[in-house]
Amino acid sequence: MRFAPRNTRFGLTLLWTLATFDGFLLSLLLIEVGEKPDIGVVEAAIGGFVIALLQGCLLKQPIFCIRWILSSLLGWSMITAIGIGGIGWIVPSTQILPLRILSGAVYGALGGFGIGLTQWLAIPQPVVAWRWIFVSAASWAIAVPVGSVVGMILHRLTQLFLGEVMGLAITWLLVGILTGMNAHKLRS
Amino acid sequence: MITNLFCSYRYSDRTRSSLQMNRVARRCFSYLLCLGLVVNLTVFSLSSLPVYSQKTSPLTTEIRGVWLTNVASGVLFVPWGINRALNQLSALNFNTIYPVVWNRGHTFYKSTLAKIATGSDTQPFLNFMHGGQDVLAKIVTLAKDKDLKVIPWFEYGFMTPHYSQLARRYPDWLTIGQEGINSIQDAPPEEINNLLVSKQAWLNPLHPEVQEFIQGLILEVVRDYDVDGIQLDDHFGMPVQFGYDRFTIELYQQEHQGKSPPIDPFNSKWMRWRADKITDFMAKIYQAVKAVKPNVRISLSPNYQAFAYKYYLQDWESWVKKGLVNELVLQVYRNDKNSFIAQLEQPSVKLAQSLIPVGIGISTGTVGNPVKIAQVREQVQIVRDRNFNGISFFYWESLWGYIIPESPQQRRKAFFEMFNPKTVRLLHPKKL
Repeated sequence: MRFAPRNTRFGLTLLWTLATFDGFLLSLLLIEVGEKPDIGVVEAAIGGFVIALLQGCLLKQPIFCIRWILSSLLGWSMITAIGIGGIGWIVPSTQILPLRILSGAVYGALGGFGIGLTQWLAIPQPVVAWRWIFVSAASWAIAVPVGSVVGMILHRLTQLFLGEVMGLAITWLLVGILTGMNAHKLRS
Repeated sequence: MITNLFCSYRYSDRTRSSLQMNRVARRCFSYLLCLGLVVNLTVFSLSSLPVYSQKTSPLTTEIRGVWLTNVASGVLFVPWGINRALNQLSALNFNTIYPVVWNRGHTFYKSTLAKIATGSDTQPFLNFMHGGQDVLAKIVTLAKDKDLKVIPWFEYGFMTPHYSQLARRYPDWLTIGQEGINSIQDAPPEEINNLLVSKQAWLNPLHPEVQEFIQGLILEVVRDYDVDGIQLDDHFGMPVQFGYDRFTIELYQQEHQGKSPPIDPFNSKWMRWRADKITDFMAKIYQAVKAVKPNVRISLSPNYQAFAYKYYLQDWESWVKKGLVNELVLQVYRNDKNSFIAQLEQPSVKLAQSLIPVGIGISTGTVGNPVKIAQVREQVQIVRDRNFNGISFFYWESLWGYIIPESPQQRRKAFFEMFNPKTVRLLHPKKL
């Protein structure tokens, strides 16, 4: 279960980023990226599970790892069920740049808050847990609009939907980096 | 148990009362979330499944095919790629698949002949990804369950890369051009931008050992698998600039009182002589296949006649007239509407239409040339308006993969509408 070495903060950030990004790539074998209505609760739960599984391997105690996976699964299911959407696998239908940025930031913040809120359940240290909610919300609020804009540009340049998928990969990379910068606190 | 896991965190240095409050809050929240999750999974798991389930009889509708290839496509390699593809195709009322079985000097089924000739009985990466399982056998089994016809596709025909074992082990099987030119710039549409494989060597279609090998591969597929037919395409010919290898020259000289072939590769008699030799081989294949399984369909997917004959000595109009082809799927990969229509109205196509089922191959796009669904829909309608026997799409990955302009779900919806039972086009079954 423990893949992380007795790591530095930078080392864990790197590993966390890799785990998150690889988790997204792995999830593409199971989930098809689409627009908001196309990603249901089941798809979001599967995707959330895959990513949390890889992230969980970096956490110290097995019990924490299990909690992390279950809480993430719960979070992704919840934000999809209540209408925010499976933000990690959905592409906005709008092609208007300012709208993409705005909706990306809003839905990213809400989605990140929802995921952070359920992951709060898994984190043993109360202070870290509360802070994590806001780390998650802020990370997604930044990552979703950036990835979305990159995706739109790539889509327009190539005329391939693959461009949007690459935009989502950028989103996940940013989420990995931003949450990874705080991940060392989860192991303290 | 889940809630216990969530709530059994350890004490920190905070006060007991605040910790207990925190614990109560978490426990309540966990209960609510778990309840919500169960409800949501129950409700949404049903609603998020595809609703495409209205089936039509595969015997009476037009051909609705798709080519499955190994190049620029992961369908044959990724886990559950084949299962997912066949499930989706069946659900959207497709009825025919053309899976590749011969590409870049490798077979995509367990071939004894390929093992002897190349050292590999199956394309090595495919073999690795499927743990040695016979992929064609898997495709046939799955397709039969879904009422999909399977027509294995010998995509590369006589073409083979220079680096292939076949080209290395049997250099005398290859034909060449004048001044020793031993390759041509050719590539199937899906790898048109792949510079590594654009130079191709060519097996000599006139060489008896080559004929024996290619015919052997075809017969292996027909004999060993429950297939509905086999398909040859535009690479089943010889580039017009070739035919200057020693074997062909000697054969020509034997039949022309010692004269050497003309220097001009476009010399009409020289072209005709080579094209007729290929037609003769086509007749041999036809007879051999029918001798094994009389009902197996010989399908051909060429370019338009003038191009096929002029540049690849593939005189498919003669093949149709001689009854050597049971089904023609003409490749018309055009973006321009007028050009597309012009191809369908060629005299050779009309002649074929009067004799055998003729379908039209429509491009759904490649990485370098993405095609919008509106164009696909328009071309399908043009084909239907002209009473062709159906459509086959090139290729799987661009039906509703990521190399398309729209989202995969939008594309599937469009295909479902095109092949919806309510708009189904019933045909009178034609005999083979």
